[in-house]
Formats: sequence, C-alpha cells, structure tokens
Amino acid sequence: MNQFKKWILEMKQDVTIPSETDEKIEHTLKNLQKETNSDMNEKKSAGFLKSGRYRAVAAVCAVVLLAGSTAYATTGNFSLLSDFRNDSSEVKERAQSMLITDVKQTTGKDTETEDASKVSYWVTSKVKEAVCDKNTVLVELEVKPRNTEKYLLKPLDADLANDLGLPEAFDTNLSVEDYARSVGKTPLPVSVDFIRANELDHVSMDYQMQKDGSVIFKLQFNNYDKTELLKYRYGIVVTRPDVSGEKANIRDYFDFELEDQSKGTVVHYKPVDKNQIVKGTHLVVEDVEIEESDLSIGAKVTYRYTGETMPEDKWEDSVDGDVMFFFFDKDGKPLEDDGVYGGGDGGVLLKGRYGEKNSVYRDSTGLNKTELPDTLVLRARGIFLGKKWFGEVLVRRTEKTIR
Amino acid sequence: MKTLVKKAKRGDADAFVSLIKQNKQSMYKVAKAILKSEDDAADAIQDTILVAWEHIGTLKKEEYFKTWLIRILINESNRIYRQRQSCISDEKIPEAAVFENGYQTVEWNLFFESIDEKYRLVLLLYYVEQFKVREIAELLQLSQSNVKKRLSEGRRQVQKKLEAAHVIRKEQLE
Repeated sequence: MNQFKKWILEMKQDVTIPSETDEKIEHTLKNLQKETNSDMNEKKSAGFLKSGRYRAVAAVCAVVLLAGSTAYATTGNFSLLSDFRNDSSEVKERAQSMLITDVKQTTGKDTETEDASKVSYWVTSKVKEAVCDKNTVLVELEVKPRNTEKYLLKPLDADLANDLGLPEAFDTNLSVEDYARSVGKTPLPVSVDFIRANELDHVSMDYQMQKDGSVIFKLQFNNYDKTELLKYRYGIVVTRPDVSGEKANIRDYFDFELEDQSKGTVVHYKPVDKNQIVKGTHLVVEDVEIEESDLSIGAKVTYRYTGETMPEDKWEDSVDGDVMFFFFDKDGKPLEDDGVYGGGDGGVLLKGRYGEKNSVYRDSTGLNKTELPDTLVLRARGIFLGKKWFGEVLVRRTEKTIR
Repeated sequence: MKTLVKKAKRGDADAFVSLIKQNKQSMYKVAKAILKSEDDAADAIQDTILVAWEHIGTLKKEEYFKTWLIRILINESNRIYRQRQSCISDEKIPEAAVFENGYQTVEWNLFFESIDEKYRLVLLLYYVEQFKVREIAELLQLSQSNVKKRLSEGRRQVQKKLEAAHVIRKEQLE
C-alpha cells in the first residue's frame, strides 16, 4: 500500500476530541434537550453559554441558506438593472421592460407593530423590485430600521464598516460598531434568509447600506418553478437591543409573489448520429435542451455512459466522470458561457448510479444571449485529469416549445 | 439515520442529539481544518448545533442531513475565521497550538502544519469524510473543476511531505 493511501487510512480514524471541547459540545446538547423537554413553546436558538462568551446564534442562522454574501462595494449602481450592464443593449432594454416595481407582498410589506417581540417593531421590509424570466430571478429587498435616527442595520457577516458598501467607510478599518458610534447610532444586527424549494439550491446575495442606515439586499437564484405565478418567502432575524439572552433574537417570515410574464422557448437538439460515442470517452449524448428566456440561455446536455460498470468511487477519477461539454457553432466559434445559470454543474446523475453501465447524467450551463443556429457542435473536455479535448458531436435542432 | 432525522424534524430533541453525536467526529475534523484554535472550533460546533436545531424543519430530504449539517458548520467556521482576522491588532495574537491533546498522530500533525489551508478542507471532505466532488463544490461554493484542482494540488503537497518525512525517518534509523 502506498504512503498516501496509508495516510488516508490513518486520517479516517477517530481522533480524541479534547475534553474541554467535548464538554462544551455536550453542554450545548444537554441544554437543548432540557429546554425542549421542559415545554417551552418556541425553539430557542441562542443563549446557551459557551466558553463564558455569549453569542447571538439565531442571527447567524440565515447564513445557512445563502450561497455567500459579499458587500457590493461600489455605489450609485446597485439597482437590479446594473446586473445587465455588460449584456447587449437588447437584453438591457428587455430587463428594463420586465422590471417589476410594484411587487405583491402577501404579508409584511412595510408592516409596523407596537409589539417589541415582532420583527416589524424594529424594522420594516419590502421587496422593492424584481426581475424574473424562465431561467433567473433577481430580487431587491429593502430592510429599514423603524427608527433611522437611532439605529443602523448590521447585516450578519458585516464585521468591518467596509463591508457595508458605504463610500465614507471604504478607507477605514473601523468595525461596524465603531462606525455606528461615529455617526451617533447603534448597530442593529439583522439577517435575511430565503426559503427555497430545494435546500441545496444556491441563492447569491449582495447587500449595500443606504445613508439612512437601511440595507438593500440583492438576491439572485435560478427559476426552477417556471410557473406564471412565483411564490417566495423570506425570513428576517433581528437581535433586539433591549433584551439579552434567549429572547434577543426574533424572527418573522414574509411572503411575496412575482408574476412571470416572460416566455421561454425550449428547444431540443438531438445528435445527428444517435449512437455516436464521443471519441476518447464512453459517452453518448442523448439530448440537448436549451431554454432561451428573455434575459438568458440555459443549456442542459443529457448523456449516457456506455462503458463497463466501475465502482462508484472510481467514477470521478475516470475520463468519463471528468468530462464537461462545451458549445460551438458549425464554424468552430464557441458559444460563450455566462457562468451563471446552473452554476456550471457538470455530471449530475439522473439515472442509475455513478459509474454504472447505462447511467445517465446532465451538464447544466448558462450561455450568453445569442442567436442559436440550427446545428451545434458539442465538444467534450476533461476538467481535472488534464484539460484535454475529446471528440465532438453534431446536434441538430428538433422540437421547439414555448413555456 | 433517516428515522432519526424525521423525528428531529418533528421536534424530537433526543433524536437530534443522537444525530449530532453520530456526526461529532466529522464536525470536529471539519471545524479544525478551518479553525486551528480549540476554542473557536468548539464555538463553531456549538453554534452549528443551535442553528441546525433552529432550521431542521426546513430540511426537505433526510438523506442530505450530513451535507446540510456540514454546510452550516463551514459557514459558522468561516464566520468565526473572518471575525478573528478582523480582530487582529497590532500585537499579533499567537495561534493556538494545534497539538492540544487530540491531534497526536504524525498524520494529523502533517496535515495541519504542512498543508495550505486552501487544500486542507477539500482533502478532508473528499478523502476522510468521503463527500463527492459535486457535494464539495456545493458546500464550498466552488466549481467542480476548482475542487478537483485543489484536490490535485493538496494531494501533491501531502505526497511531497510524506516523502520528505520518510527520508528523514530513514536517515534517523541509519
């Protein structure tokens, strides 16, 4: 057995967790059991003392559902339409025409209450604008302190004032707390999360603080629902400054709907030779589905593995498990990948198991809006095991449906 | 495990605690791969437990529980790591020793001392926790090709260190 394999075996053995660490973990678990079993109505998500340091845990829970939040560090250009600034003028105009500014919020829009245990006592929120088509949804959510004189919102992972996207804080190393003090305000911790149908889906988020201490959150995700009426929910967690301990973190949910009046055109391409095995691999392309929406193109390549069954853990180290498909026109000109739709996911298993003979997989990718020819060339390329180009497959447009 | 997850989703704290205990080793290794300090790793795990309990009701597919849990842990660990980075004052805070009690084996020592942090987590998730490349890509918000590149480079680093350690041991024996 080689050294590396021996090393792996050793690493897989259980380690001895230091007693102090283990005790802290067990303490948290015991408290959780105790609190839940003592007939408390609400699930407590904070307040278990750890290492003598208290931390407002519920305020961090929104991170779970987000793909990563980074401050949008430039100003004056944070509207949803700025996301299309590098697209063609046709796409920009389309996006402008599809911008929804009167978003229907079924609960919570600008709601206020005098009950301090509710989120709406501390902040108001509304979905300011949205753009959606059959592939993509973009939403801009404004969250504002009810008392903008006193409070400044502090998003979950904003530790430095720089993170807030305010130009006056760009060149400082001030913490958010120090910056708030400098403008005579108190930071009010807030977080936003977004309920998705598929918890493994990605929601990317940017945010920027406004001068009055409110924050604009910009969310982007794939449209998997593809219905005319899209229904979504967001949650807001606020850490109350007037209470400490378990009751400090409060959460409420708010619902909104978007009417997607865009049309998607779904086009299928089939291989000219349906039995063609991509040279250098054991893969047969079965179908290419391209959904052209108003603002983007989503492409999915479905292919089948025709080689001998291999152990599942060998799949990713095999040529066939390493391949992704790229699009070209007949003259060899590449169709550009927009790197957004589908996250550029390769080799998602659809049928069978990994490495099994006749198992079926799918690559998803996004392409920049372009005129789609009747014939496309798919070329297979290794991603990891050397960036090698393999064979190509000619596919021709067949059916077309309007979604 | 699916039964326990179903029960936990219905508010059964005992079931949830069992799930956490089943995954404790994995959680500890992942937290340590990101945060060398024991205190920070403990905090990350504790926060993860509370966040996971808060959100268990939103988990749609029971079979994804471990992936979901580890994702929360990675987020928590990264948050603590970022806070640490921004708290470093003029006087640099010495890093907590990684050899505190638990990691006594040569293999773990090599892992922490010699491997760049960028590669540690992907190596751990792939080889030790046996996540697939696509799952690691989801967890770390990387493309699959990036994950593979990091695995390749991480593996190369480990092999190089192992060879060097082997040569030193041989010299010591002679």
